[in-house]
Amino acid sequence: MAQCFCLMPVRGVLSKSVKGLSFRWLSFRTSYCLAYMALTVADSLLTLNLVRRAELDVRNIEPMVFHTTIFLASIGFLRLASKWPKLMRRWQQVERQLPAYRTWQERGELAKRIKTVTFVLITMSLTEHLLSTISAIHFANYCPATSDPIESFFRNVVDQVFLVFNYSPWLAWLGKIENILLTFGWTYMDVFVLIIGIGLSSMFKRIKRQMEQHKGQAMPESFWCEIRRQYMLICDLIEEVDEAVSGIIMLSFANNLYFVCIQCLKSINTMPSIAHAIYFYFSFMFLLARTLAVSLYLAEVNDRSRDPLAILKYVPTNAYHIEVERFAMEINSMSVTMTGLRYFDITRKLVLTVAGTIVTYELVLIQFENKGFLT
Amino acid sequence: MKLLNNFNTKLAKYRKNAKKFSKNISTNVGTSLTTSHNDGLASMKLPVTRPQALRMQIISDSDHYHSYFTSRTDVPNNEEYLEKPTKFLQKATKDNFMYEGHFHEAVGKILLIAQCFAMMPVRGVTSSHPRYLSFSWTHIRTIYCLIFITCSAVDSIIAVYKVLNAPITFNNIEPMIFRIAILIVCVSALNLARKWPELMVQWHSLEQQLPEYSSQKEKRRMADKIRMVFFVGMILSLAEHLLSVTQAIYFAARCGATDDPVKNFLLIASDHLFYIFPYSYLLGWYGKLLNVMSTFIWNYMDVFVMIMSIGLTYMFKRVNENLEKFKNKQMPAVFWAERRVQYRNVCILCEKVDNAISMITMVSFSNNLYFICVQLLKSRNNMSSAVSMVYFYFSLVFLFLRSLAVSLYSAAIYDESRKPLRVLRSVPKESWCLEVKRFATEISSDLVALSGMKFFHLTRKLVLSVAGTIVTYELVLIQFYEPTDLWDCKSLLKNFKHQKLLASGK
Repeated sequence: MAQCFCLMPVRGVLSKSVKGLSFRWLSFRTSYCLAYMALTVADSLLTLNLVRRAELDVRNIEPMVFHTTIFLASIGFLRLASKWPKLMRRWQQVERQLPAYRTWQERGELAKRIKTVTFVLITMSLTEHLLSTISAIHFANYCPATSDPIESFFRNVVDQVFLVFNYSPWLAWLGKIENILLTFGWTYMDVFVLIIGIGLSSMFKRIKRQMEQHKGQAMPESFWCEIRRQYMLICDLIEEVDEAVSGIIMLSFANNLYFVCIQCLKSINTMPSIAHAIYFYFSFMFLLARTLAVSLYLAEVNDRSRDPLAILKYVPTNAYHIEVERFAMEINSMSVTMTGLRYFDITRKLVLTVAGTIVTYELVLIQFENKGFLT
Repeated sequence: MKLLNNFNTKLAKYRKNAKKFSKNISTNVGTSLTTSHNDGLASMKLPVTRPQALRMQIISDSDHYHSYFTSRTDVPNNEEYLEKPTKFLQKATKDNFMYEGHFHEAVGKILLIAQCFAMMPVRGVTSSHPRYLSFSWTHIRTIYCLIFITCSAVDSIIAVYKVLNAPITFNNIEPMIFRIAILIVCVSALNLARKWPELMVQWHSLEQQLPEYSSQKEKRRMADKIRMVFFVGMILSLAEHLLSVTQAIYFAARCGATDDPVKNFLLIASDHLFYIFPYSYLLGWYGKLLNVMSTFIWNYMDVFVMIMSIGLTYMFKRVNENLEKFKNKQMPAVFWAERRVQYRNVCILCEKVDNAISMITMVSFSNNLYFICVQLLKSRNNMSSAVSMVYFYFSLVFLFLRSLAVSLYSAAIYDESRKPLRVLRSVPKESWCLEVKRFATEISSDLVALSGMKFFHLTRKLVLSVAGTIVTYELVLIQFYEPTDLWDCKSLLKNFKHQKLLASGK
């Protein structure tokens, strides 16, 4: 679905097996994606121009940060797309070697979960965008710049374009479409990271389920050997996936951090109208929820990776082989996590640290803030 | 002349034969690692039999150093180490461009350049073998270095005097910090130079124990990277310095207090000297020369830390790449024991290097931290001209990139040192033994990284925490800061007035 919005130009994503996946620079999807990127660059430059006119401030650079992030993310996705087929093949290879599902229900569980999360988030983001459009329309009616309501709406929404060019309806629609695409890309970045997190942690769950069946039983050494091998396969896979997507994770985290700070800061402003207030609080809540969801789902990978350790403690004395000891030692000494370019490991503790950081910055920023109208 | 050339070609032939011969020996007899100091002999052949493995041991402090220097008597018999009768501007042969892949030869020329700027006065940095390195207090390079240190010490005192006479703020102490940092680095580089020969001999002997390179290309890799980093760093710093000179000339021309443009420029370039002494042409150029050298050293200290880290990272890489070949294979315990010893030796080397250079690392890091804070703060000033704006943003970006590069290159050591764990995880059950377990435990419990005097270890996480610290300080500093025009003529004219007073003899 992301391909409609110009991200991840991989061919054959819907095919049954991973064999159909391929990436080519010349395919239609790639060129679509490249065209989109060129457009984004142009848009970012225009925005830069807009931002440069005003005084540099944490808040004023918001549109620039937004554009730059999305541009970087689309580069990240393009690079990922070239690695994606290989990565997916590897992923499937690992999945085949894991313990088999026992029921149909278990089999469908992962797909269902991923679909639910995607659906919820995309719907929310759509709602947010609609609300933003409504508040913009409201604002356009409230203090119209020109007699034509449509024109004043567009002048408001894509102001960075009309700062340079004269008004024309085509350009306006182009700007609006670009804006929609950007907003989608912004949310999709988080959704993508989230899905990866869910997929990886579900693999650990499968191993855990297998182990739980034999909890406290005296199992032969070969059983533990097999489990350990599977566990290590997943760890290797996680490392590979992490290498591929950690750039996007970094972007998503930095971006969320910045926007939470900004929105918090804006919340002490007075709202010009009720439409604005609704839009603002909804988008703020959405942002918070999304950030929290991303961090928690990614931290789950780390949590799940420690689960087998608890079960290993139930192994009876007579079945405590050297292989079990090795397994326990290895789990203990490894830190299996998703990372942001390896600068930080994503665990539950990180969430708290980030929250602390936000509060600190907020306290400092508030001191400089002079209250004013949002408009 | 002809005779000499003839002699050279003969020598080269003979050397080739000797190499072949020694390789034959190594294949027939196997290896003897600690006793050999011949490159050809260092190749490992598998499987290793028990007695050979027992001979391998972790380097102790005196072990290798002394074995090298006691065995010096047999050097003349060994054709490999017969020094070429060198001549000025000798025609280069293929051998001159062949790398053995040693760290010593990779850094040789770089250290030579640094010596022109009074750093690291060691003799024989471009020699073929580290045993020709030596340090002596009476050598001309050392004396040059000592003279420079004295000059810059005097210079720092004058700078401190000037700073103390003005109100002290975070920004004003910048020249003082700059000069003091350079003084400290120079002294610690001198200190390092004393240890350098021993360190390089150890490094060299360790390199011979490591698995051999498989191709000529691989041998070049480290040297190429080190050279690339050095040249990029130096060219950028040169560009920055030129921009700064341009900016000073522009500034001098715009608010010239005197008619002489050279005088105007020199008065700005070495303003602290003329704060005390009356203007003189020679003194001005002397101040400028010191400034150029200090700027070089300022950049060189970061580059040096990067180069050392690259060298160490490649040591680990060699061990790791060799280990990767044996992933998922069943190997005997002896094999693992031997790999563990190799790994351990690299770790020991890393610690030694860290002990030797940690002062420089510390200064480089704190210096970068301070200058980033100052530059960020200055960015709130209004720039009066395009020239100063270009210079300012160029130097800011350069500073950022340099600090980031230092931290990332030095963090790479830690990343690389954890990699064997991946191979150890996939050791099959049958060949899992006590030695593998010991290896795994040691890797996961050790923290192998460069450090700033053991106060902090250079890992990727440090980069993030430093960035956080900078943001926090910046937020606090901004509250007290009032933007001014950085390059206004007023302060300059004040200097001129002071100068006139001095010239008239008060």
